[in-house]
Amino acid sequence: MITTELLHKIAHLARLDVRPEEEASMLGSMNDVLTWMEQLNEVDTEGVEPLTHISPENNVLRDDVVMNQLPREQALVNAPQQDGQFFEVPKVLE
Amino acid sequence: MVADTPRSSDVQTRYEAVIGLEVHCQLLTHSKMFAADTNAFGGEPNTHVSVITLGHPGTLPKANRQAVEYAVRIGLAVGSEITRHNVFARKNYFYPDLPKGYQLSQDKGPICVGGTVPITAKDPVTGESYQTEIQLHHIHLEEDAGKSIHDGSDWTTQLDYNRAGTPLIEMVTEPCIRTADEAGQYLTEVRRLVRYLDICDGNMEEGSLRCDVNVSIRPVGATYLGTKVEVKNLNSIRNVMRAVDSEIQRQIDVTEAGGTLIQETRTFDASTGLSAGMREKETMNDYRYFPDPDLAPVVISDAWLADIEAAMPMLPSARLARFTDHYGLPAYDATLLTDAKELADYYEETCAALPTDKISPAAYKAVSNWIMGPVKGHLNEKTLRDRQFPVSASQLAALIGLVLNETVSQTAAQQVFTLMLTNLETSPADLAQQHGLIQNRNTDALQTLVESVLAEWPDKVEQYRKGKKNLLGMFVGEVMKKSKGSADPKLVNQLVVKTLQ
Repeated sequence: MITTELLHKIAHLARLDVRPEEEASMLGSMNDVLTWMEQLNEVDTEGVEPLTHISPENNVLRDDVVMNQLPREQALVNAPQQDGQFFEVPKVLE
Repeated sequence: MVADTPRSSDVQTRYEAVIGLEVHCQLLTHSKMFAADTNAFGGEPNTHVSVITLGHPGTLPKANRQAVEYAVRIGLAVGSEITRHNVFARKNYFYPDLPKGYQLSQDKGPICVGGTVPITAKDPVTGESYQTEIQLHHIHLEEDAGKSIHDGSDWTTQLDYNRAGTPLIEMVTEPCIRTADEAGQYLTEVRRLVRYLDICDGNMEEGSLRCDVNVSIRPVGATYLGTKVEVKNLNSIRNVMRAVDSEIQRQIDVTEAGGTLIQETRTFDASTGLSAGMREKETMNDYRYFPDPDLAPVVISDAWLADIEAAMPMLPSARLARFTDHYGLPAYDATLLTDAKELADYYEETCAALPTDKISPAAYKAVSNWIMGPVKGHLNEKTLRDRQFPVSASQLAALIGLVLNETVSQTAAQQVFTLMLTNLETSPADLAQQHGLIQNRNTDALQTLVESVLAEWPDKVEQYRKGKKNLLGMFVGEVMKKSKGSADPKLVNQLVVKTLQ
């Protein structure tokens, strides 16, 4: 059961602002999702390893070779704020 | 706040510390953990980056095979159980140094489980050495974050993502460490191990090996765990030990004063030896780990595991055995030479470069004497790291060869060695030639010198003949002086004795 308190916590962890008038409908849909997922509890999973990936592929590995680097101008081009060398964000520490 | 000064021991003996270490090692791969941009240290800001490292939408990470193998290597070295089915997980949190909004790590099923690191530590009270084993909880693989620069600009935090995505192993001990010395010895051993395994350069100043400590205290004899405090920002083994001692003392002081310890993260200031509480980022960390759907599981088969094991560099213990058995060195020499991998490598390279007709146990011991003596002496003097020693193994071998075939005397060889340090391009033989240090074995020339010396000291010759045989050394010394050190002292000795008969 998702409570208003839990909704605020989840919103904070995701850095989302939820307006008070949106809370009721959000609580409704989140609880609907949970109820829907609860149907899975009917399946007996005793002794079944948790499934982490749908694809049967394993060991999709890369050899240790340097390639595909970005030039700095290109790396910085979409940054909201940058100084030609660094990405810049509002000061984290005082 | 408590400085790292010793306190009265009666209070301290009523408490014991419970310490756990988390050690992060940056792996020495060419490229990053999940992307192909370079893993080279440093570089101009934001030049070692790729679209994957920067977390652009639609990019697909792929794990670096070499990094996986390095993690298995350390696991095999410490006797961990190797997890065969590995899954990478997303550890979600927001911080500007983490471009994707999550760190790729391992949550359930770290690649290495358990293991032990044997150490020799000193009892803080009795000063006696004892052997113990530090138990590992696990070792897992993950990626490093970027670097935040807070003091580069007045209004902003600057981000450099060169380090983002660097492959890391995190080695987590059980809370089984009891003293600062044990913590220091463990860290020393881990650093030696990763260097021997060629998986990390172990440089704490540059941050390629980092250590956080978890400390709690409890009354001696108690079995519960006290409130745990994490101390970060420790950039040397010495500072880890200082931080442990200072934190134990702080916790004892708070407890003795009737206060309550809070679970927190503190940062250590090496200049004062004090730690300070850090402002918590969030009330409670909730990382919401889940398996990364973009990264396929890494399955380590028996065959792959066997290949990794076969490619393992020799461990310190095996190296020590080789030095005593193969080279016939005394245990003292072998221990000293194998303490650091660079020095052990240098020893073996020098032995391999000796003139083939001079190879013998005596020659192996001579190499050891040279390295433990003049080479280490030079390193201590210049406080250079072993690997930065300027004289190559083949040059040192050539010099030792000159001594072994009696081209230069042991004394003259010391002078040649000093010359070699600043004349890296010139061969030891040429240097000896240029500076007149080739041993003079010309009997006729030396006989002339012997006779002129004896002529200068008629009264001493008289005393010698009357039985004052210890004057021999003085005559030899005078002849050596006249030859400017180039004479072969053994030959001079024989000539003096013969002439005085």
